[in-house]
Amino acid sequence: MQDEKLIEVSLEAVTSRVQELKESTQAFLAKLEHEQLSWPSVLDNYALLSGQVNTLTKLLKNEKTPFFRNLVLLPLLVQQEPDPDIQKATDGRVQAFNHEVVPDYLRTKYDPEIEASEQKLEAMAASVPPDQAQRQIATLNELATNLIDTITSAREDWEGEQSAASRSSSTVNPDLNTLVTAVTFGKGLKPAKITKGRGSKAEKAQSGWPNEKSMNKAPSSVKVDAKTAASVHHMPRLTGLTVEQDLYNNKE
Amino acid sequence: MIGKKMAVVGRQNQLEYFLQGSVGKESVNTLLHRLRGLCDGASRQFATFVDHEILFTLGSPGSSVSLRGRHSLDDPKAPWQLRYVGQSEMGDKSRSTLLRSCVEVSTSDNLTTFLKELGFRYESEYVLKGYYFVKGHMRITVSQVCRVGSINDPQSSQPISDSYLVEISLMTTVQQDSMAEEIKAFAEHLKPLVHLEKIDHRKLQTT
Repeated sequence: MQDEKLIEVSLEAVTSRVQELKESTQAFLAKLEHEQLSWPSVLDNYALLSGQVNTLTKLLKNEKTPFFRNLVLLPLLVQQEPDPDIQKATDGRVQAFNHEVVPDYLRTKYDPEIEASEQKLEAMAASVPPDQAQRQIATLNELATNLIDTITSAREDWEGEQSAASRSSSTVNPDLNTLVTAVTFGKGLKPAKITKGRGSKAEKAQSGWPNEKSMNKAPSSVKVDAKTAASVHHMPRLTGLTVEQDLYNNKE
Repeated sequence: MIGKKMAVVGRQNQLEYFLQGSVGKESVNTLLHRLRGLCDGASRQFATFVDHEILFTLGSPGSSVSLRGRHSLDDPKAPWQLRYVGQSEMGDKSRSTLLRSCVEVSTSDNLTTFLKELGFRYESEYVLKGYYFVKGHMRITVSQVCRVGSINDPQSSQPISDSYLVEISLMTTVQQDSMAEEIKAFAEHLKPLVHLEKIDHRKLQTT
């Protein structure tokens, strides 16, 4: 009596877990079809599914859960007519408990083909002499150990690289300030010309913009002299401005 | 003609949300790879650009107005761009990017002459060489900042640093801080190759 109750309770638990799993799989499939998912959200969905599978497996392995495989299932009715109960229970996938589906649903053994190939393998295993088998086992173990070693060392290498990469990222944003000030305020862009040219900046400016400057330059060579003289004194910016304004006034 | 265009620009994008960072020469290929995967048109090769920008100012130091003239060296037929860029606002912690006003307008190629006639003074110039990507409304550039050897000779430019400047920017008409979140989220994908940050420009200016 108690056994029966236990079975019923655990069956219910399993059914509800499977139901949950089914629902989230369906939701995931629907999302995949209708939405544009980003990779992180796909991973989230996978995590949900694998968590549910995990709880299901835990439930089946639980000590309190009776072994379902020890129970006997007794089919009472095989019929061709559609069965509304079965339709409902399977969401319309199985219409009737007929001769087509019974072999699949009530199977207790593998397919005959699979069984045959399994038997072949078993026969082959039995035909191997014991000492040779031992040797093969030893070789396999050795291989496995080697493989594990390789993987572990690869992992260490990889982690080393990772940490090296994170260390190199301590030089985060190299030279950023230089770049930003150059782009924003033009800092660090001018001195090169001065050191390079060493001559008067104003003169260079003129050579740079020949068209209108040369026009300005023609009438007042005195001003140009003033300019070169001025820029030698450490006030290039200010004098440059005034002289240029002079030039414009002059033009007018 | 420029004046007319400036009037029209009033209705266009005026605010720029942006983040800046940089990446060393050795990691730039990895970054380009990642950007290619993340951005629109992944199947295309990288789009490259070479832009020459000249900074002009009007007024005395302290109370001056700066304008930038920019044109492509890759594509001489492309129009010049006249750009006004405002002070970058840090904002508070709730906003994840910098914000500045930015007005951009296309002009003819005699822009420098026009600015000089207005009394603008040549301030400095540089060349940006690199790659750009587009993701939605965001524009991502990875470029080297090059110092120009002699004035108005952009061909002679040399990089000022081995590192590449990385910028993500997004232009908009009205202040919408959700845009900043979009940029921030994208910037997260680029870590740890490049850490895009809000760079306090005022601090940089004083140092």
